[in-house]
Amino acid sequence: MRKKIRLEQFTCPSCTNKIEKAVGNLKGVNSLEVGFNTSTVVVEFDENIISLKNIERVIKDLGFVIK
Amino acid sequence: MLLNKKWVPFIISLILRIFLYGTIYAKIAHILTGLYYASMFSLQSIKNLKYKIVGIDLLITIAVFGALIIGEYWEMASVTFLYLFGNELEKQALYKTNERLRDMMKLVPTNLRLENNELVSIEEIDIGTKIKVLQGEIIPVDGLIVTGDSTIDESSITGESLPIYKSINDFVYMGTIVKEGFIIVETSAIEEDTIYGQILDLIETAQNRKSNFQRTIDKFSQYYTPFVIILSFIAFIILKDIHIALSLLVVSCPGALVIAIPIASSIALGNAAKSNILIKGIDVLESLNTMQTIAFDKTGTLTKNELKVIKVIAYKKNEEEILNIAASIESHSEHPIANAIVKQFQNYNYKCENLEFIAGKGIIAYINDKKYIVGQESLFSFEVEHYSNTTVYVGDDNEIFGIILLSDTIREDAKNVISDLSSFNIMMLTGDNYDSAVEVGNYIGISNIKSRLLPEEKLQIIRDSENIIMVGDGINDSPSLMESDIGISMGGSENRVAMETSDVILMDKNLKSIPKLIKLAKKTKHVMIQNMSIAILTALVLFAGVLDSKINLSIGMLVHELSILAVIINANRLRW
Repeated sequence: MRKKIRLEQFTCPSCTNKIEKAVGNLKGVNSLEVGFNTSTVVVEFDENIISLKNIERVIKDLGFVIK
Repeated sequence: MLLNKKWVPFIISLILRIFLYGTIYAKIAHILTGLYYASMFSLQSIKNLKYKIVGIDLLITIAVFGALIIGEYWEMASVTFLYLFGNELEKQALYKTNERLRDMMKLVPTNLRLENNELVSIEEIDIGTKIKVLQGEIIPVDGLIVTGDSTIDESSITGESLPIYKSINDFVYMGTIVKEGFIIVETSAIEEDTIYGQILDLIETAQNRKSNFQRTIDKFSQYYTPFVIILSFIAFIILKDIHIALSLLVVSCPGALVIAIPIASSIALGNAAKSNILIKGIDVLESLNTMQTIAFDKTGTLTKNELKVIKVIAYKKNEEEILNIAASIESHSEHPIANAIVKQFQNYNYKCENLEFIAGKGIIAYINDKKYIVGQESLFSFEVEHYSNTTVYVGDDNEIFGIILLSDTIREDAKNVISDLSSFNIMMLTGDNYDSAVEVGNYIGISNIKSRLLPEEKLQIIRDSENIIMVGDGINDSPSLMESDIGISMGGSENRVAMETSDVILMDKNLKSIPKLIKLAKKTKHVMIQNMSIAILTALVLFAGVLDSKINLSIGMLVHELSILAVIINANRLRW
């Protein structure tokens, strides 16, 4: 399943690194694209292993606000 | 907000530093200010360790608490303040760069109206659902009109500012606006599957597409930060200089370096989109700078693909009479040639009877019981005069009364655009005959003309040329657009094939966008080089300054934040 998550404006490029690292290491996440310019996270994941809610929880846990 | 209550502690702290320098009051104020600001990011940065993330916020946290331990209280307050204030400024500047995309998102509806006027959210509908759109509303889905008619503003899709009339069985797009009346639409696509959704997706994907150069920088910065942190440890252990160690931590994030290129590309692409130029990614803009040849398709690209009557030759009867007969008869046909004649003579007033349509050739009809033949020369059994233009003969079984000559309309800007592009090798590639190609070429100033080309011959010419831009319509020319180094499609944003095969889409079919695009590519390159210079210079100065003990924590922070703002401001010069 592919889903686009929109976040509040990123402020520094290291934001994208944080999400890439934390979400990228989650089990069930197949591919991940964090767009700095658009403040978006496009994530492809296996919904049998991980839910969108769990992914979103990790992003929130990192201190980001989901729109 | 820059005028925010949260900056008050720093201002108090600053006042106390000036008037009560060195006193216990000032020191307490500095510590409290520092702790207050640190509370906004320090806890989160420590929490992030559970994901094995070492961010700049963690490094600043270490620096701040280090400053507390060694008694540099003012540094605590100023470093934390500068970090947060800088972030706030950057956030606002970055927010502005994405204005265009946000404006476009506003056209994406969240609520819609069912046939029975019930309001539902977009998630609740499916393909086939019939929805109602009233005057002034944005159409929330792609689909067919099943009831009603209206003029519709499709500028968000085609860039065309004049609304067009649509009625039952016409296709309407999400993001377009119903100007009058109401329509009921049967949904065929929603959200990301709509054409508008795809345009949005293209713009967003383009914004995030990285060039090779950017990838190199990203890699470099990944090593840069750990390198400086290790250096900071070495400074602490070997030099036993905790000031240098802490300052190094603060300047270890190459902020300006990482942001220098993406910010420029974001603004350049957003700006282009504002002018109805959709670019697939920053790499397209980069390679535009190395192109040498531009190949133009003729029909629909240099011309409007709209036939127009250019001359009427009257043998018998007068010109007006010839046009009246032709228009009266052709008004019964939907052929483009027929439309062009009817458009030229809208006051036609003959009543036609016993119409006989001869496919691809013309029409035979009776006016006041007299037989008329209107169409190609092959409809006549006798020899007629031949012309290279598109021609319609008006006559009967025995003679020709007159001949109507038609020609495609050349785009108004074509001539100026070709002269603006004089630094390129320009050629025209067309499947059309030599005469009409040369006619267009002479008028707009293209001498390198290749005519009567089959699609595969066109493709071969593209393949044989290096650094070539192909400009064509997105449908018929899609193989050449794909094979060229850069394919520019005139219009076609409503067409999925064009969207996929071309690198650039000129939504409003404006030829003037091509020189504009070339200029933008050049300017973007300059801004990127300048930004890189600012970033590298700042990094060097900070690094050397810190090691030389010339730069302390807060100055380091200030220069770091200023350099980030400098590249953002410089990139904003790419707006037009």
